[in-house]
Amino acid sequence: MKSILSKIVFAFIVVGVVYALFKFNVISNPFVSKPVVIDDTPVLVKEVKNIAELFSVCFYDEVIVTAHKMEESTTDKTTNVVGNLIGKKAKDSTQRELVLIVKGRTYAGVDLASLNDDSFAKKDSTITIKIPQPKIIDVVVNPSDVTVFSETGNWTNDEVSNLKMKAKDIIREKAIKNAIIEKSKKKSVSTLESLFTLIGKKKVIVDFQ
Amino acid sequence: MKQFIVVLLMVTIGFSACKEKRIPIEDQILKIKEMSQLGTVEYTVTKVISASDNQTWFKVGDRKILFSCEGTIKAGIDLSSLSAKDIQTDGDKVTLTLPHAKLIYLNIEPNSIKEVYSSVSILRSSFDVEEKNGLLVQGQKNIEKSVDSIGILQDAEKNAKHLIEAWLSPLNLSNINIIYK
Repeated sequence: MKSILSKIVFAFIVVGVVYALFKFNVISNPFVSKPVVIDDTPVLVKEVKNIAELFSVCFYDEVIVTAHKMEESTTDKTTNVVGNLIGKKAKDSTQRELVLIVKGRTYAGVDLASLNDDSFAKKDSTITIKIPQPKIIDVVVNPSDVTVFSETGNWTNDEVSNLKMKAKDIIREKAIKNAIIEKSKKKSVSTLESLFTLIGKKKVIVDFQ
Repeated sequence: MKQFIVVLLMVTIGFSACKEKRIPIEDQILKIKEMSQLGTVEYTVTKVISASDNQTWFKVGDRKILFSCEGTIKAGIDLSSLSAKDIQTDGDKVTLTLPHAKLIYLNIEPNSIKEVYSSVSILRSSFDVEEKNGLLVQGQKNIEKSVDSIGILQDAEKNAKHLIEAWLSPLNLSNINIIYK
């Protein structure tokens, strides 16, 4: 009896030691899948463009987008094959769902590339600058901004891209509803006023074309 | 001895059952942020993202996938950090000290990501959306890391200098010296 108990205790100690080794990463668990790492490929520069964009407001948002489609599962396919053989009506397809949580940033500002000598009017220590109306410059949704919340069925790359584009449209609309353009207008004026005041102009007037 | 075994059992079960599950909470507040960044250069970059899932010994067969993607990187200078001490005027001569250029953003349009090739062994399941997105995130980080090496920041500083000089010349400030902090 005593020898059985000592064997059990010994077994527990062994299990405990092995567990502790895994727990504190002294040894790696051989039954854990290794992460898939991308190959080291170069980043190629395709185009270089000079720009003059004054970014004045960034609107952060998060939206949930969902896509549904009907798709036959493997079980359905088997059922249909058997059903066809015995002359029974095929089973209906199953609804598949993809739910994404998408974070996005909407940048608004003024494109100053069109500024030329005529855009500046100087009178004593006052200058008037004519700039274009502010606009949404970009809505940024990168892969790291996307979380897959729920996924059933097979989804093609194009279907996922379309869903992300839908999220971008929603984020853009929400930014407009949150008066991003008006805020951008105000901030663009204050930025240019500060810049030219620092240079020594006592009065700076910013006009929108 | 029996009591000792019972206690040992309880401790072992308790130890494994009380494993703390940490849910990552993104410390991000949704908001509108004002900024004063002058974007002066835009690079369009491309990258091939390829991966092979064949490193796990107990999974029979392998999976391969290949994406191509295009992104735009904008860089420029932050005008909000300018203060009176960064601008020195001496008659018509102006010395402007600007902060160094930095990345404003990388934008990878979802529809610029193309799945070019995918191969899955019969005993493996195909890459799901979450796995594919994980690979794209790695590609995105890779592009972000390359910002220093592709020369975009140097171009941004050079363009900012030309741009500000062009803006100040109609104001009879032709003698402009722009330096970086």
